[in-house]
Amino acid sequence: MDENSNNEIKDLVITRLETLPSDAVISLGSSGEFTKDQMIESVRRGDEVGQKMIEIEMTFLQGLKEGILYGTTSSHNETGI
Amino acid sequence: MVQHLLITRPEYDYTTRYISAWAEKYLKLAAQKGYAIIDLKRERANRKEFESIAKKRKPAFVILNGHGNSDEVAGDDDEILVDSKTNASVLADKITYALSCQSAKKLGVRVGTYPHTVYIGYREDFAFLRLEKYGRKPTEDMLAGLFLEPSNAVVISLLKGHSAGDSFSRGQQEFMRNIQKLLTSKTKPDEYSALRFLIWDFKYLTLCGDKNKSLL
Repeated sequence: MDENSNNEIKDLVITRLETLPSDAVISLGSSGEFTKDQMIESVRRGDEVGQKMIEIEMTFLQGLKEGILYGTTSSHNETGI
Repeated sequence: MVQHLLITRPEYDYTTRYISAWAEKYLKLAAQKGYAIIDLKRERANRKEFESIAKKRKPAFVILNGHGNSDEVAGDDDEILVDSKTNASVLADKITYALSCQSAKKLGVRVGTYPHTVYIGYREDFAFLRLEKYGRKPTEDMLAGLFLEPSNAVVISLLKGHSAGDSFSRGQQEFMRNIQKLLTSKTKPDEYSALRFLIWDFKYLTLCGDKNKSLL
């Protein structure tokens, strides 16, 4: 992905994060907990947590594209018997 | 015969305190249903006690709340309780639900290979939002509830005797119900922002092993 596209995605994710309430905290399990401002800074820096947030946003956008929001549940996450 | 339910509930940061507090909701139901509950809370969520009880009491149902990664689930102060390489067999012949990051990726797959065994968890980080003002009263935080109620729905369904496969589907349905609820025009902006995290959790909820196993 070229730098322009990368920056566009970062801007998109940051714009979305800015809609979070000011006292919201994002829990990302073992990665830790982050306030809105901390997460925005992580995305801006492109660190590991910021990359994870971008992945979450991309999954959301992909879900929109695939119509997941209007679909039903699936069994594609089942392994084994 | 009375069935044992073994639950781990570390409470050493906000994330673990939240998931521990929300677990109270299904523990009441478990007590009503007659399960003998072994509650490894706070410092009791350590490997020695966990392994000892899992072997001696042979719980039918194990609920792991805590931080984790693809190979491990931790207890108090990040002490590893169970991992894919050394003691995964402690979960053999049981139903396990892990509200823990990524553990279904490798640990769950390993556990799911044992006969008559099922592991439901998450292949990626379990993400949720909370509001700071509810730090001391997590169960009043309805923003967090959007995530923790669907998680609880898996456990409640299992406690009611439904199969692991049906309970997994129930969890998915509850995530989807909240996702669709947030798409309505009446949704507040802070709730709408939860959508991307809900879809993430929905996508990575995973069942490994025997989907026909139940607590009946």
